[in-house]
Amino acid sequence: MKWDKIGRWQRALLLAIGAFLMYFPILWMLSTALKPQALAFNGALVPAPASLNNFRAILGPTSYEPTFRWLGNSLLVSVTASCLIVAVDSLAAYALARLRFRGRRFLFGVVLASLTVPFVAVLIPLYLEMSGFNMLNTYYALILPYAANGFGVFLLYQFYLGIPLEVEEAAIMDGANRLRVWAHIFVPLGVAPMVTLGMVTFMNVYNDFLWPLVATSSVQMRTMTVGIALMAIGQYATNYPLLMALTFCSVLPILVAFIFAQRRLVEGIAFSGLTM
Amino acid sequence: MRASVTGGLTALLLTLGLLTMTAGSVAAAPGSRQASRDVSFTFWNSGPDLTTLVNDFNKKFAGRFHIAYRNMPYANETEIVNSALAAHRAPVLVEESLTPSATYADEGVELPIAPILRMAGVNPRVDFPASMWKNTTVHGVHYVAPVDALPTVLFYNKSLFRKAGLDPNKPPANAAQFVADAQKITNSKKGIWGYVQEPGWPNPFLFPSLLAQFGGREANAATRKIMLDSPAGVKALTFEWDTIFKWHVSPVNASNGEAHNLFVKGTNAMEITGAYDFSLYKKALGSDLGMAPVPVIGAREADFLGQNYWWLFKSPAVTPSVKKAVAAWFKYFYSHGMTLAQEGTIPVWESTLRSPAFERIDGMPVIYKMVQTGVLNPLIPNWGTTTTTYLYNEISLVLEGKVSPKQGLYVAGRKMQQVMATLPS
Repeated sequence: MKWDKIGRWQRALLLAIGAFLMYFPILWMLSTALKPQALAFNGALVPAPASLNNFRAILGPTSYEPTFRWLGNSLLVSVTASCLIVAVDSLAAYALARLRFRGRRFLFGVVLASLTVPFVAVLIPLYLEMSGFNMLNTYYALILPYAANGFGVFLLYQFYLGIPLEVEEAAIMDGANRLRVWAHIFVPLGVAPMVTLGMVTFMNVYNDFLWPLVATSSVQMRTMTVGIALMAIGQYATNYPLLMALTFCSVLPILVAFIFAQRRLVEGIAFSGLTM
Repeated sequence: MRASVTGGLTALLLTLGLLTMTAGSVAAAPGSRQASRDVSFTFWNSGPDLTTLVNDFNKKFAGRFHIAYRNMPYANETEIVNSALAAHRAPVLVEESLTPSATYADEGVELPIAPILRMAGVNPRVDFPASMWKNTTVHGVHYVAPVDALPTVLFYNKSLFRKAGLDPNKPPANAAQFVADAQKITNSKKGIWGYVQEPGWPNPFLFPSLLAQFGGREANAATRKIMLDSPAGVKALTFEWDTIFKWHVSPVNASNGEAHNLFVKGTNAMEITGAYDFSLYKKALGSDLGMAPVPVIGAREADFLGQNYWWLFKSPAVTPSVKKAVAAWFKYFYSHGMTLAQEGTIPVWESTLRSPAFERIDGMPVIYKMVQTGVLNPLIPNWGTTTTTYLYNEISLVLEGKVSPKQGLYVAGRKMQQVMATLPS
């Protein structure tokens, strides 16, 4: 049977089933968050009895951990890192794509090679650097390691190569310097991939666990992912309802960000062929 | 467009400015502590959260001693501690489970613990359970002292015992009783199981318990010889295999967490695991929860002892006055064993363990008995990594019916022996 011969209702039903399958983990997360610990795995999707105790433990005035602070830290770190990476990577990509200087190819090779190095391999050197600058347990340590990366440079480099040279030459003939060309031509034309890069970075940084865990030592400097691990995951046992409540609270900002940036993100993904 | 670019750059600069100010204020925080003249030391742990006890200590000794405390997630303690060690920023005192300490002791970065214990007035041979002090030396030196214990116990559902016509106050004490009780309770058609043997968890508690009961050992720490495929090892694993494939008292291919989930649900009558689930099971089953010593499946009473230990890292920061501060913390901590016990952590201070107040806490007498008969993992560097990678993978294959117990233990032992050869001598 061809797709166009399927009736509207059948299509809606198929899509609804697909949507339900996609949303099921979120439903399960919310359902578990509303259960007491002893009933976490009773298999019921509708919690009975339902209770807000786990959310009270996290968000209530008597919460024993500064959850809002962790959420704030995560947002501050991810937003700042996203802004920084867009600015830094965009400038680097422009330089590599358009300027002609000695060692350009070699530098681009270094940028590409950096994509192959796993984070775990640089964990201790990075820690030593931050320790040397006395930046451990500060926002610097949480943000600066994300301020630039090879992936963003490569993504924008590819885009900038596609911008006609004539546009740039016209601007230069009109008296624009290189920085101006970047700011007035490359940035406006590259909004879609830059938003994509920003969003991807936001999600990566927001969800990162290992680096914030290693780089921070005080309760106040924890990000949400680290806080979640310490609050709900024990040495031998895990409090799943509390874990799910914390996770639910932590995915909300990402969901909201996604809803607002959905159009740009889809454009960017369609343009760059990026998979998330 | 120009305005939007300028606006974007301004916003970025503002954010960075704010960030710089905030970061500065946070970075300044530790410095402000130096204003007071107390002796401060860093203490990181991955076991039970000791924030309350540390805060009380800091309050009591304000102006004299201060602990900068950090709780680490158990699963990531190695990354945190190793990064700090590499940067010469290791904590003065660290608490983890026992076996990571062997790695650090082997590398020569730990301090002997006996002098600090002496300063704290602790006589480890008398004050700690023997099971937690014996066999904790590396090259003949004690580098660690116990913090808490977590023995293996038998949890059982009294209601299911009653329904099967069994005495709910007489849990099985040996292999024959265990199998008979489990067979009476099991009704696979109704989804009621006498026992649930998972291929994975809780084997890190169960297998070493059974192995010790049959008189076996996982490895010889001195010679670093893996001893898994001994007759004792094969008997221990065969017992687990039999519960599934011979006696049919356990479901085949139980999924991860199934023993726990079915126990909470009331359809699994018995679980042999660490005592950590006691309070959760109490909430779920109420007065129907029974807790008893691990049945003697082998030849003698024995059980695996989960635990946490602490040790001091060598560093210029460990001055005589810091050692005094650590000793004061040890003394304070060990004398507050009842506080820990009431919060569900099992203390290791003999006088607390033997006190009437401790005995009155629900379940604690059984736990104390199991602490006394407990056995620890061999103190071999990287033991946790080695066992989890090879031993428990092979045990899973055995309990999924893919290889025989003898074959599985032989393969695991051979692989682990290869890993042993890579360790520094």
